[in-house]
Amino acid sequence: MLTADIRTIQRELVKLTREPLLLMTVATIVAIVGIFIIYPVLKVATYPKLEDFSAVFANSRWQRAMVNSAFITVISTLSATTVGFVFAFTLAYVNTGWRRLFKFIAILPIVSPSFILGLAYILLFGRAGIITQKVLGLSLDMYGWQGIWFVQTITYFPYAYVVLKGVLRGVAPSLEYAGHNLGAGHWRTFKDIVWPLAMPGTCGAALVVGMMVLADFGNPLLIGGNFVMVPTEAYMQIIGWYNLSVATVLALTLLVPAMVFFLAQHYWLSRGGYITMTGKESSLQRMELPQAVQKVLVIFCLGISTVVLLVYGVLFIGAFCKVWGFDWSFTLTNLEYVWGRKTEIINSIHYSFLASLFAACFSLILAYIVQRRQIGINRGLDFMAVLPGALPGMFMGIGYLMAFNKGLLKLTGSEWILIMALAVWNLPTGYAAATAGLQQISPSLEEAAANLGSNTFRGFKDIILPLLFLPAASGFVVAFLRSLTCLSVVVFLVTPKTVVGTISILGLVGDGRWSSAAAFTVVLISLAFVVLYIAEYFLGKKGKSLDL
Amino acid sequence: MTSDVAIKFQNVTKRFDAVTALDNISLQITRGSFTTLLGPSGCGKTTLMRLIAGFYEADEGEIFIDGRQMNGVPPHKRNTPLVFQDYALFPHMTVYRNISYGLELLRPGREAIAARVAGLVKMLGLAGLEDRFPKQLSGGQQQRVALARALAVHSGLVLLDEPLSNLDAKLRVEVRAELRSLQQELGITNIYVTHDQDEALSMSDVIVVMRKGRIEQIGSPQEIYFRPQNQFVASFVGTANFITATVTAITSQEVQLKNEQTDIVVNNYAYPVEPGETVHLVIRPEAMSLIDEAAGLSGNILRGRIKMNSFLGAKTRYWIGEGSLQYVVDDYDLKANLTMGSEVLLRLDGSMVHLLQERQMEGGSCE
Repeated sequence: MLTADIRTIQRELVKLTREPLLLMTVATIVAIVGIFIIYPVLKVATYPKLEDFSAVFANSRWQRAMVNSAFITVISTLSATTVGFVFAFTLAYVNTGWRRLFKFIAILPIVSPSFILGLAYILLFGRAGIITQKVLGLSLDMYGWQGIWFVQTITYFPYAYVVLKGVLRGVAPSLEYAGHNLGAGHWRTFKDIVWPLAMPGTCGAALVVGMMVLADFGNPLLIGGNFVMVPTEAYMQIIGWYNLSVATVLALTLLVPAMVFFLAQHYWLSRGGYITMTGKESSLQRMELPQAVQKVLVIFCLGISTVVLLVYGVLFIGAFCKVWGFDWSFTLTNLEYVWGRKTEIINSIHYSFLASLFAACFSLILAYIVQRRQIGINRGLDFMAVLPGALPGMFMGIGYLMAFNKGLLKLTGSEWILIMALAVWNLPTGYAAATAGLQQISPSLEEAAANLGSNTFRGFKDIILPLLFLPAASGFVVAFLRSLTCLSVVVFLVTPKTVVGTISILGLVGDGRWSSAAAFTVVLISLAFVVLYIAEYFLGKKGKSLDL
Repeated sequence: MTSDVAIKFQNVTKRFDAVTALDNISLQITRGSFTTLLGPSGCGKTTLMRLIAGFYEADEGEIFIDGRQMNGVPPHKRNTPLVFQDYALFPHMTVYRNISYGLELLRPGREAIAARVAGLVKMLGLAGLEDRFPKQLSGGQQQRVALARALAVHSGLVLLDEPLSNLDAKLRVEVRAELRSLQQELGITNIYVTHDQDEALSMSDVIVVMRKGRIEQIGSPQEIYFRPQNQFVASFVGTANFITATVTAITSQEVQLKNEQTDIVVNNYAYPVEPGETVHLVIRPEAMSLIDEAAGLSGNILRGRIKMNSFLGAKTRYWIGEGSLQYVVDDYDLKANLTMGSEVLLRLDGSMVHLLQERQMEGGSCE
């Protein structure tokens, strides 16, 4: 078997030498993957010594941080996945007039910076919060694990929803009819038929959420208070002490469970056997649930929706009030302040655009080569393309800080380190979009082009590229939105010249300037929505939609 | 290699991991012929076609096209246009652009392209559809566009990989005749892959019957149908009844045999058999007829009871059994009104029977 594999690789490499353009492309891809993905990971992984590990694991504060991170990850994952499941289930099974609202709510947090829930929590429940001070007349310290749990649940349930809506769609309605036909009521049908079929996908969704909660540091930083967690501790070690030894060890403690989640999630979501493709298109509607159950589901979703709308509402109020908690009068000075710092908004747009463009183009070519050309290292390249999805954003930030700060590869201090870090961080997004697009294109189309005399380059240009344009555009837009609202990847890489919007917001929150922070956030989110709706409009005209 | 030979396979083997898809195949395809590769799924016919087109490389052996060795030559340099099973029409290109695509790569000039495309569009009945996209065409129209695209590049060869499988039955029969007529008119070499024996028999000059990566028989449709070289070919192409009998005597004209039911006399088509040898008779359903009585007939009479029948329009097919024996018989007497379970007599036409020796039956299970 090994001999056959080696023979195949040898044969494919010989074929490559006959197509120099393809060979150069593969070499370039390998170089970029090596320099911008593998090298930074190795830098972090090989930096700490054994005594650094001992020091960290023996330290009670960092032990507590690890336990706290694990605790928050578990409970937030459970609650976010549950909420996401209820949302997906409601939208799949209940014919309600609130559908559009629920769909809108479910994608809102995806196009916003992940820490806006933390900021809104402060505006609502902080010492000067609307609820605590104005409504309840209290002056309470609401920071801590409960706040983090609440905020992470609301922040990340949409990611579970996105996975679960596809999972529930894969459960054929005819199976539920069969269950009822044989005597099972609604509950038994759900317990015996729907849930077992949806379970692997639900586990996959939970793992996606778990990875994101584990790696998030914006919300814990804003509202964690004395509740120490690994990402915030790693952040303090670099920003406060520039202690790379401890920071890298802490980053590695994030990486290991993240990789486990990542591999487990790939395994669960690739178990297509549980998705029932009966081979026949069914026009059956879902069985109607009892009215009482429908009402409960809708009320639950309305409750979550109210919370989310409250968050955005409070940000909006905060953006237009003079001093949060003290002077609620209407003002535009916060927006003027943001306008005065428009360089940072322009930086956000500029870097996000370039990063997304690179990610979309690179991932398109990479996906094509991995899926359609056997070059012997396909599996390795495929893994490299999705690996950034397993890396906590902070881990990437530290890796880039360490890898590109001297010599030929010095990018630190320039905008390019930000652009490349964001590009690589978004590579899995673009790669997934391009791969999905390629799966829609029958290999026989390329064979037909080759059969008619077209070489690899012509075939890619004339056939693949036009057909992949829409999926690539979709990947570009999603990558742009993610880059615009990203914090953890860029926090260690910005300089005074290259500050971006999310870093500015973090700074303003740190200074207690809630209204300015809210105004900045509103501008950033508005920008994201404008881009989102323009993209949805143009893609909608071609019969496609964004795959968020 | 003579100039009559368009394609030659010389001891070609192709493996996919542990599976041998083609096992030491040697084959010559005559220029200007309609050659069909026929066999069940997994027999290697598509692999063989894809080796010609260059999508696969042989692990062993040589492949020649028009006298040029093709091992290592990439697909885009072979000029072996292929009509794909799913047509593989470029969905973002119009009919005109699909047909002209291969020509554009040859860069003959816009006018030459337009003239060529216009000629093909007219020949294949696609006039008026030039600006449409593939999804706006019917299955039959898509199939014609795929054919036009293959013909456009001036190759003397066209490969067709089950091109009719996506068409409905009636259209398939119509298009089949048109394809054959077109091939004869243009004089091009067609290599056609199918698992449908009716297509193979009706369209081909030569049929190559394949099974499990090997060639079982090469011959004209008549040779394949009436003189199958083994049990597999006899069973796969058409329906075959098998009767075991022992050779009792041989003359230059006849072979006389005997089994537990009857004495049998068949024409001797130079079978290398000897008296006392056990042989197997290949009897097509049309080689037997239902008779009222055996009066005046000394041999070639079988009997049985009707187990099942199936009305097929021009004929009725009967399944007739006696003990462990079962025969499939086609009866063209539409006035006959035979009931299930009734006992019938069958007369065997000795001129339409073929003999297989024991060695030709080995491992020859039907698919």
